[in-house]
Amino acid sequence: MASSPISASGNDQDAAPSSLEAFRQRMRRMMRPPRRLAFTRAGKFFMLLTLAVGAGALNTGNNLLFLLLGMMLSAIIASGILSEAILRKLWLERRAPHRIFANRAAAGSFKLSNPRSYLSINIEISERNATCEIGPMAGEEIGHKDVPAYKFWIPDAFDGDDYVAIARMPELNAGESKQVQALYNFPSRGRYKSPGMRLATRFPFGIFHKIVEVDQERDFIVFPEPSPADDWAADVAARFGDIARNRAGSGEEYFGLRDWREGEDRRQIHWKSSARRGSFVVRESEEQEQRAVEIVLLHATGHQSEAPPYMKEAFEEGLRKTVGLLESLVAQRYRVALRTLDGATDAGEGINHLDRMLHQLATLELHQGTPNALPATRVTSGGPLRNDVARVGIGFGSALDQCPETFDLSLVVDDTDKQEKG
Amino acid sequence: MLALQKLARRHEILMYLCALLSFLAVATGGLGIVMNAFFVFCWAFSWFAHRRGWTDKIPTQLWNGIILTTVAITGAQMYLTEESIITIGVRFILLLMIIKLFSRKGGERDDWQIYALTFLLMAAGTAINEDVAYGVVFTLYVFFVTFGLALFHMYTEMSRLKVRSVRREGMARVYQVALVLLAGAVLLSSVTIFFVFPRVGLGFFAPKTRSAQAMTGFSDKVELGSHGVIRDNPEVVLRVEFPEGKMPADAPSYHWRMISFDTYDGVKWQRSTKGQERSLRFERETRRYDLSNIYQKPFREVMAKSGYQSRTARVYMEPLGVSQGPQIWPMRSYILPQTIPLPFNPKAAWLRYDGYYQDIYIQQRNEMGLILEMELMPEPDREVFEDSVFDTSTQQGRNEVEKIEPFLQLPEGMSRLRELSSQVTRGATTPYQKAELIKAHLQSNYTYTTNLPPVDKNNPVEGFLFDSKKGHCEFFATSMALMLRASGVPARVVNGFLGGVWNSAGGYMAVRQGDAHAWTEVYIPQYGWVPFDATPSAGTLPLQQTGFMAQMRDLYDAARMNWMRYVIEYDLDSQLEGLRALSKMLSPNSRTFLDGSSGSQKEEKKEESSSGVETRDVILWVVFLLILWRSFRNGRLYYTRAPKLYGSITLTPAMLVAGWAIVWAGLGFGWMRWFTGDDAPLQLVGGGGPVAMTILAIALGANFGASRDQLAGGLFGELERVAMRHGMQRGMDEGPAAFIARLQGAFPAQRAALGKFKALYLGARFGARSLSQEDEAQMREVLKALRRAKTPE
Repeated sequence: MASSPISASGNDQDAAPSSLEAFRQRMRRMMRPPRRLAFTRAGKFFMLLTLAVGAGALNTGNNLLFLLLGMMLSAIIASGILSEAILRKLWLERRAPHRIFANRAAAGSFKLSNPRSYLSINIEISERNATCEIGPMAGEEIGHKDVPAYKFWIPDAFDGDDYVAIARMPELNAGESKQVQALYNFPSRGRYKSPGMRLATRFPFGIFHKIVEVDQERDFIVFPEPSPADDWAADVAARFGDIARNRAGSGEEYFGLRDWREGEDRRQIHWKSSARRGSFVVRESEEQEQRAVEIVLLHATGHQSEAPPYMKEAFEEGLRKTVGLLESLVAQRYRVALRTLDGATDAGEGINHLDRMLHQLATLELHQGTPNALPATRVTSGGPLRNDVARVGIGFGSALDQCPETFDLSLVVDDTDKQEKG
Repeated sequence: MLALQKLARRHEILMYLCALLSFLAVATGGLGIVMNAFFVFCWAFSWFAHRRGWTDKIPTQLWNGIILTTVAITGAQMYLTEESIITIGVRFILLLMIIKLFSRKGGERDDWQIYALTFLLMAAGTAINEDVAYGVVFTLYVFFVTFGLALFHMYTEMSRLKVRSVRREGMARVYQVALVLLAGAVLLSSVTIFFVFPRVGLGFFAPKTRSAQAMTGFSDKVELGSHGVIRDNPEVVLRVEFPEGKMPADAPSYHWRMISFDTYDGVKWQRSTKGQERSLRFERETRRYDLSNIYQKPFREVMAKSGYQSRTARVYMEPLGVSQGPQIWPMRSYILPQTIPLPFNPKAAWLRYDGYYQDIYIQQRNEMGLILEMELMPEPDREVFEDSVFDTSTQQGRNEVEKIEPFLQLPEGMSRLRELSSQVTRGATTPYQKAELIKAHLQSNYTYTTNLPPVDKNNPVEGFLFDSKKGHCEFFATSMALMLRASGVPARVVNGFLGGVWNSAGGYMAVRQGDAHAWTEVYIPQYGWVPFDATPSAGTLPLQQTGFMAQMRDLYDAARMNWMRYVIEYDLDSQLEGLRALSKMLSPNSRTFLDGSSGSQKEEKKEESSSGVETRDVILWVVFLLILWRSFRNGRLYYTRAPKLYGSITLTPAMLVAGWAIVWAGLGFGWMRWFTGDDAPLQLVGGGGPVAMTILAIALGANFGASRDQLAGGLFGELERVAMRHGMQRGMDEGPAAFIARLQGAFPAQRAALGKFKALYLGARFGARSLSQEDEAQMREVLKALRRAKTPE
């Protein structure tokens, strides 16, 4: 027997940080300077020019150079004071998007309030760099990379395509609150932690980028990007096509009228028809026995050795395709349950149910070894999941082979090394 | 609507103005009229070319080619020509600017490069244009560049956002007013940094130079008849300030003696020897050079009799390119104000004295202007010289005759002159009498003119005396000196300046090149050299010009003087002086660490500045009023402050107010003592004032309820602001009660307190109740608690 493939490593990260780590975090927050200042590209040249004029002035003692130096230093001081005035005391809130798919922009927004008595100009609001905690990019930081101060020739990133989310507000009047839309972008599925947001401005001269970091921690669950799974959907439909049941039930389609019986809920009476007929009648609808599918995702390699990179890539592709299949099934009003090695989502329907399943897929990890024990799904509503429920297994060929359970339909994820093949 | 296009256009105008201004900063730097005209033409033409899109089709490669060619030509110029590197550099930057103005495609990068080039030109301008014009250009440049860069930033941010218009026109105006204020603030701050930035570093030790004025008025030789003195040359040589701030009545007759000559060869005056340089008695502490030694004892006794009623003149001397300094007969001392307590002072200057020519030499480490304080004495009564003759009976007298002999030299010939001299001086027995007679003869029989008639080049003096009878000061001075020598009286010609004109704009007397003058010095036995001016008064009157142009010229000269003094020549010395003045202002009672002057001098200074309101008095009373006001506010705390608990100790408002009253009284007392010294009544006022104000505030406390209805609204506004900080904003349709109820929901811990706040506010605002001091205090406590409360999730 293969040993249990389910490691607990994925759950470790959910545990609360140790008191030492919490202390470290607090210290880090305390030590952080209240403002960060970055040079824009023009600012770097401006500083260089200022240093040159300063050196010239000190070297020659030429008073007119001191005058010029005074002007340049004044511009720097004015930049500091005004950008501070623009940013201070602003109140920022985020309205994060509800559903985020990897590689697809999701609309969220920022709400900025200005309780001061003067306006703010040219404010840039962005999500701070997020760290991927679970997912293929675990441990990596995503978001904007500042150009180091010593790199002169690299232009500033203006369009914001490398930010997690960015929005700009040209002005915000005194005492006003405004909401601006921002598109969230995550490169891959998983769980990300964002420490908060940042407010920035280049006002008044565009030589400095003054940044205030706002702490508002938040986790983002990023669903895998769906890829078309028409072949899989066709397979499922072909095998578990609709079964006609010509009897009254709990569906919505019209089935017929019958007399009202004593003791039944009066609310079921169809008054219009009753008035026409002269006696109480009840409107019956046709029973719609929903097609039910249980997707069993075997996210294991089926081998004891560590998964090679191409297998990981194939796993991600399989996940994307699974998302495509789930979307397609839910759209066709299947009742779908999802079982993985880590957990199970009970059968259900509708968009919220889909979200629950996608949430589960977002944080899945590929396990080594043989899939062994699978958690059971429970049915809580929507009628019993009958014995003839279709059980669809998805996984690598080796994993499907080794799984002790039997499936009505096995969907194999191709794990051959495509590069080798090519 | 302030459209993006409009913004772009305004920025472009400002950028062009910056380019023009930076050009003006270097335009005088020897680029030549052709280059200047070429730049202005290209500058204007590029504007239209850009508007019409003529340059859009020119490929970037062509511009790059032109830039490379310019670099190559500049490199060649540097190696092949003798032209100064700065001129070549400036021309190169101007050419780059022209290329950039034509080739700009409206991108952010192009415009930044143009701004960078304007900065470079302004920096280059500092090396080649030290005139006050640079200051004017700089002021305008700061203004335009601040405005331009801010608009440029707005424009780039808006184009980045792809916003077409941002705001209502009214707001745009507010923004522009703010920008004007910003530009003003940057200018002010530039000037402040300029004055405050420590002038230490290598530059301090590098001797500074300023180009000396070309002297057309006087020189170290006088050649008669070679040219007339340029009487209308307005270039200022000396600027003289008097303590009384106006021109003394006798100032137009001041003879600013610079250089003297001993030998006349028939055509020109020369100096036959190098002279006998000597040091002057120097008092280190006061930086004072005592001149009493250079006068002979009988003369010193005469001066002592008159009581040494001296007057100070502060002379600001332009670099003249000569080593002689100005001197007025008679003088008591010079002071060279210098403050840097360093062993090596690049601004150091020394005075020396010539025992033979009686000239004052100025030695300077740098070649900048110099400030000299001259202690002048009134002329003695000339009657004392009347009977003075050489006493050859004593050894001392014989020595005197021997020493003075070179000043009796006369060129060959001159028989007519000798004859005239003996005729004129007939009857006179003493040198002084002879000098007076000759002077009177010259003044009454000869005419002053700068328009010289043709004279005999080989013997101009006799030509003047016997033929033309017209000439300028050099003829009069020479004739008098030679006639005196002919009659056995030692005499010589001195060169310098006469009088000066009052510049009311600057509050000083300007001595100009055109005031150059020559006169005679006569040796009076036992007393020494005494000046005599034989030029008729028509020639000695300074040309005081009037009219609009003259006023403008005065204004320009005053601006130029201040520019040179406070900007170009500002240095560590001036900084220390300013620091000393400041420390004196803030601690008039104690000696400052920089103060080197003795006690008696301080007394003098105190007397000097006893008239008018002084800055230090203003500071004294403004700060004291501030203390009084704070004490008054402290008194009000009696009603508004809630008791405070510190462990088991309760501080009641009365205790707190009393404690603070003691602190403010101590501060008031200390301040008065610090400023006015041991002045008991003032110290009493200083300590008692704050206590009295505290009591007054408590006594008046009951009447504060009179205008309390406005207070309620203010407190509610404060509540709204505090709520907004927690991210809760009052809705347009939300009444105060509903709003406070919402807050109560969000802050359960403050529910009761907010309820009280609501009741008080509604009662005061809509009911007829007025808020008492206690009510206000309670409401403020609620605000304080809410401010500290944790923002609800």
